[in-house]
Amino acid sequence: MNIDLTVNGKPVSIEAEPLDRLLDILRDKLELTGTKEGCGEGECGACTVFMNNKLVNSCLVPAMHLHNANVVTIDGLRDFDFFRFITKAYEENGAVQCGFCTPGFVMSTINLLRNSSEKNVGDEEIKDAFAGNICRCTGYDKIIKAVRQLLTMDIKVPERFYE
Amino acid sequence: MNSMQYYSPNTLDEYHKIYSELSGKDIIVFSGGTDLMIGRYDLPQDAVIIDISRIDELKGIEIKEDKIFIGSCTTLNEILYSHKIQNDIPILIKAIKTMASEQVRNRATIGGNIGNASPAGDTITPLVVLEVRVEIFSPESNEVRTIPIKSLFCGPCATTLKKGEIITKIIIPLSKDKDVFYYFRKIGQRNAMTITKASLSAIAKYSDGKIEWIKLASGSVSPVVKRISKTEEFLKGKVLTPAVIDEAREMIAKEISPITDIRSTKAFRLLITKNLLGDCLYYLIRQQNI
Repeated sequence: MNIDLTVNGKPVSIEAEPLDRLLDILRDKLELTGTKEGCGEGECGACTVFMNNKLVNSCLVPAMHLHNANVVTIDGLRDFDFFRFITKAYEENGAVQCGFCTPGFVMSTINLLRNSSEKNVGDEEIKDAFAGNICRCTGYDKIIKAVRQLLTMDIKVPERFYE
Repeated sequence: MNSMQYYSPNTLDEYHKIYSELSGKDIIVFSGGTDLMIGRYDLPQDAVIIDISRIDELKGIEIKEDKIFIGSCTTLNEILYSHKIQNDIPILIKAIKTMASEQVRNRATIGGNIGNASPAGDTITPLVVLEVRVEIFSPESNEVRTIPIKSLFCGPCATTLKKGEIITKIIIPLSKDKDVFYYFRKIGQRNAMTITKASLSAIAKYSDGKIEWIKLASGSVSPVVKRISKTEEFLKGKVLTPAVIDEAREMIAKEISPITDIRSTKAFRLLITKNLLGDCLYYLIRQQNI
């Protein structure tokens, strides 16, 4: 089947089987390899992307759901100003060790930052926001520290990307 | 993977037409796909996929008179963020909050969670105590019917749905009783992103120091989620003394039939279910004393 969608603001047309995964389309067909495959079962969150402005596991999205979809991956977010603040906070807090889970954690961080201000986000809310991301190196503490730091800064994250 | 035949109807009417033309072929009804995508290599390759996620009639939350209608293809997050559900059905919010993750809840649908009919399905125990009805569309007769949710399940991951039938709506009756107590708790390997080893949903009405009525359903401890009716009956009209609670804990253990499987053991599930009921009843007492 032929599918027309938008990825990181660019219209693309791809040929895929109905149940091909968005993850494979991104990595193999579009060479957007910032998005990683961890478990392939929707547990680890390494493949997290935005689809129609909602956070999803790209390993669980079939090609047949992508008609006219707006997909935004970590590769499409690098040039935004807020991304530098996230990079810096992750670096300063040692929130990146092996780095494999990081793209997914950054996507969930962006989702949290755009939906909240410091006032309504305690540690429990931060943990909830990362329920779908697994990290085997940091013990999460350093990531939570980085996110807490980001929440105290006045970072402007757009409500929507590439729309 | 070979090329699979697939259809994406926009209305129930189109679903009916597609189904009629397929005359007897195996079909896979697909919505959010959070379970089906994981097992996609195991699907029969000659089956036809019918993706119902584009059918608008199956989406959204509506209040009509004394009932709330939730479309089967409504995602878990749409329910979680719905003010109507937050206000009127807090037990469902409590359950969905413990389910999966933001990423999965944006895709997974309530119809899928019910239709999967897993004894560990976390929307099922609250819906069973709420005594919801499930609306079903049959493409054979081109009609809808509604059944009580308890008649939907006939075994672990098995439903009474006939071939081609799809769940279209979940119909939740709004309670006339004010100040109804509710409780949902699940125990898993970890707090986040976990499949239930044992869970308990309860709603109850407490007045004059006694339980007026209580409805209980346990998850993951019997082939299908069902009401714990003997324990409910026992608790009715009782003052919650430690002795009564102890007796209820023993009763619930006799009403469930947990097994040992990959996720837990029979003994642990029995103990946890007893403890959940104790936790629920002591929590009820604390709530009443505030």
